[in-house]
Amino acid sequence: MTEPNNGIDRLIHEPARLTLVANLYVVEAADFTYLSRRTGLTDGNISSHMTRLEDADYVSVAKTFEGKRPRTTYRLTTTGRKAFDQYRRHITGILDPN
Amino acid sequence: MTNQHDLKALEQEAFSDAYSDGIFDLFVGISLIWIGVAWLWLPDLAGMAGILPAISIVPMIEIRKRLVEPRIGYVKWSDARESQERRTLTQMLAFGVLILAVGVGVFFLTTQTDTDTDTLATLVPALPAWLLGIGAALFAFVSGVGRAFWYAAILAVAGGVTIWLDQGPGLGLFVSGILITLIAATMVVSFFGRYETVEAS
Repeated sequence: MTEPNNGIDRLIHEPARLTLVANLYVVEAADFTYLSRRTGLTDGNISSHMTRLEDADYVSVAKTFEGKRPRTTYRLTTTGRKAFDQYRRHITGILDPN
Repeated sequence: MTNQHDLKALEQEAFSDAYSDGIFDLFVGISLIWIGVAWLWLPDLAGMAGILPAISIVPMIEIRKRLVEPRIGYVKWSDARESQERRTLTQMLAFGVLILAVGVGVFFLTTQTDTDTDTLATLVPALPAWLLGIGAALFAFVSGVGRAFWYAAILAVAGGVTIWLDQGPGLGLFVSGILITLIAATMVVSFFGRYETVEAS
């Protein structure tokens, strides 16, 4: 886990990244446009957060073409899914210890 | 957003949102109008009317993809969701076979037997609309696309009106098709007004 702090994965804990990771967690893969629309984040925001998630091996990126249109597709890696599962357990344990 | 319930709701909301463009609804509405028209005014084609919508599904899906994806983005759903979609399609297919069997059975009962089937006979013209309505309700229940319940209600009422006015099955399908097409057209206009094509994704 990257940047652990009291057991909380701060890489995921940041609100914009948490939104991105949660939206990627519930699907197999999604492109930039989809994530932008679902999260309301700006292109620049998504790019910078995704770069950090990619550096931590939480997200994999594929750049392809759909006809003449470039498409950047993001996918949570196994590491990223495990990290999000652990983050959820941790937060749930803090907020609802019973 | 961190517990299982919230994540499931997030996924369901994303899935419903991905089908908020109304193009599939428009296809259903126009198909009903076409079948209704064939039944009302082209009796020679009535028996074959369902074939045209059936063979149009695949090109419709491709056209929808080309129109919608550049606007709302690409998403590949989870294996669980795709399995559920396959199950839904299988169930809808099984339901289609069932309604065909029921329709043929009722038709046989009302035309080929000597028993007193007046009540059943009066229900026959409403059967196509009612059975499609049950299909729409099942689809809404399984897929979570709530507006399909409204389509089910429209078809149910249309079936009732068909009996009330003592008309053939075409009228109910035609009127349902017009109403669903109007709803779908509103959705399509709203969707294309909200989302513009994103050149680079």
